[in-house]
Amino acid sequence: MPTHTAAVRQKDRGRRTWLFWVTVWLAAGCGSKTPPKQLESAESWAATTRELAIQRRVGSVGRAYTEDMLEAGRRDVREIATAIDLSKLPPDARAAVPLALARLDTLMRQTAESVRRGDVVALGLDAAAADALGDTLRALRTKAGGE
Amino acid sequence: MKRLLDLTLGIVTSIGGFLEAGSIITAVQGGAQFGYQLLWAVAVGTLGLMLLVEQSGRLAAVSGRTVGDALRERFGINFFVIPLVIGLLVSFLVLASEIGGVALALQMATGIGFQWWAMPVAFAGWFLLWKGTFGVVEKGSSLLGLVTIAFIVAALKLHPDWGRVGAGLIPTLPAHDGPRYWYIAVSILGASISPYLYMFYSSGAVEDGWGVSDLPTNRATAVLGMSFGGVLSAAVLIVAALVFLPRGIQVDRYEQSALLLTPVLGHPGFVLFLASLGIACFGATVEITLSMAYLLAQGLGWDWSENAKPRDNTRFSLAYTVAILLAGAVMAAGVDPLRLTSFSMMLTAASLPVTVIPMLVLMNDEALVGEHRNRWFGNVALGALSVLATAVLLSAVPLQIIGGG
Repeated sequence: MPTHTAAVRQKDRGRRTWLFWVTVWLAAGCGSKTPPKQLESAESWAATTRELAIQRRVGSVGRAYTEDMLEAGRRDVREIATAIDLSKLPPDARAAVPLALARLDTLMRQTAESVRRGDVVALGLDAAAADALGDTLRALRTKAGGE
Repeated sequence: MKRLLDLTLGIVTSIGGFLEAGSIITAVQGGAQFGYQLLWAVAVGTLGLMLLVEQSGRLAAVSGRTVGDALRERFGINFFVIPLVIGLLVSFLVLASEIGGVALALQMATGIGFQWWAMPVAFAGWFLLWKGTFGVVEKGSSLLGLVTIAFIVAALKLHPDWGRVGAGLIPTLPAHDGPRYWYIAVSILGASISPYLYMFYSSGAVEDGWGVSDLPTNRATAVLGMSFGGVLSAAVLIVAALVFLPRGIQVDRYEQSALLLTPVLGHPGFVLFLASLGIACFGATVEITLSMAYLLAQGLGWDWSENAKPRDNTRFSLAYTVAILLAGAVMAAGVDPLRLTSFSMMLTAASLPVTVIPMLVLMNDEALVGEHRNRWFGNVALGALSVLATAVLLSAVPLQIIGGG
């Protein structure tokens, strides 16, 4: 009888261990990113905006795709702006980061409008602005301790 | 002549059916973040798959049993429940992500959200399974999948530095972001060595009535087909390394990868990417669905054959109907396809020991494979793969935590 109880206990412990690891794993899927990682992601969206503007300008990508992509990017950038922990940034970057993220959001909206209007000149300007903003975000990421 | 035709068709279908949502996205992410540095993971994954495909095909040709049948008979139902449950769970997640891949291709082409496409895609897959035969399902989608050769064309047009490409085949430690590097490496392995692929392959060999005389065809299909397929995966990674890395584009959303071919091929590149993604994922959708039904039917001793009429195999037909429609419903609920794909690739990699290690026993069982059992090379290679699979299992949870973001 005691052997049986010990076996049941061991089985329960085994189950709990598995449950723990599965929970940890699932929780990890929703885990948060560090500020340099978040800025890297924003930087990638600036580069994507630039590429979308260039490719749409020469008609290589569809209009619906470009607009959807920019809208999805804006959602991600706004999410980054809300989630980023400014206290983990160096003091001289704390004001600049939200500003750069807001500029990126505006630029993506502006690029989507250029796409809707079919304005190739504006798309060229948007691409150049996205390039410059990408440099700004890269500098901020470096300040924040990114590689 | 017929043998040569079968061999050619086998190789061509292996190439056309190689890429799917997971292998495309993991190769794109690897190239975009680490250049050619993760090419070794593609090579290791391809070699691993080649090995398992050859051995599962040999097992089926010699014994007339699929991997599922052999596992159940050799180890008993109590053991078989483990690969059965894990295999079904992992395959279900991969299936949902493949439906997501087709739905995303349609979203990018039409502007209509992927959630709206999920159920029609699932229904189309189900219809093909219900009406089609094994040959139609396997060869039809794989032949269309040859459109993915566009990635090789793009890679060649970009004139990569072949010396650096070759250097990427040797594993090296990353200069930055180590956890992410290993996370993507393991995901590439998971995407390449998907158990559903060799489970499906062995079931297909039984469906086609392979015998000992088909062993040369099996070997050639495994070696040549998987090698060319691996070249396709490598081409995706090379293009991402040359297009996305210098531009600073990472892939946080699946849709970003549609920009991969446009700088090289212009508008046709956009269309070819969508076609490649849609067709490759649709092919994988029907193959995984069928693979799940095969596994369940073989495990529970039901009648099974895609070549038979659904009314003659009601439980088998019901199994694939439920699987594909449920997976479609998951995507229709709006689950993020990229997150689901990444997670399922990691889970696939972690589940490898469950099927890879028992293969060592099966392929040395004289009662099953007789004189065609593994020689020293096959055992050493499968042993090495088992060690790798165990290391992947042990590292999967910490990597998901620190590198999966």
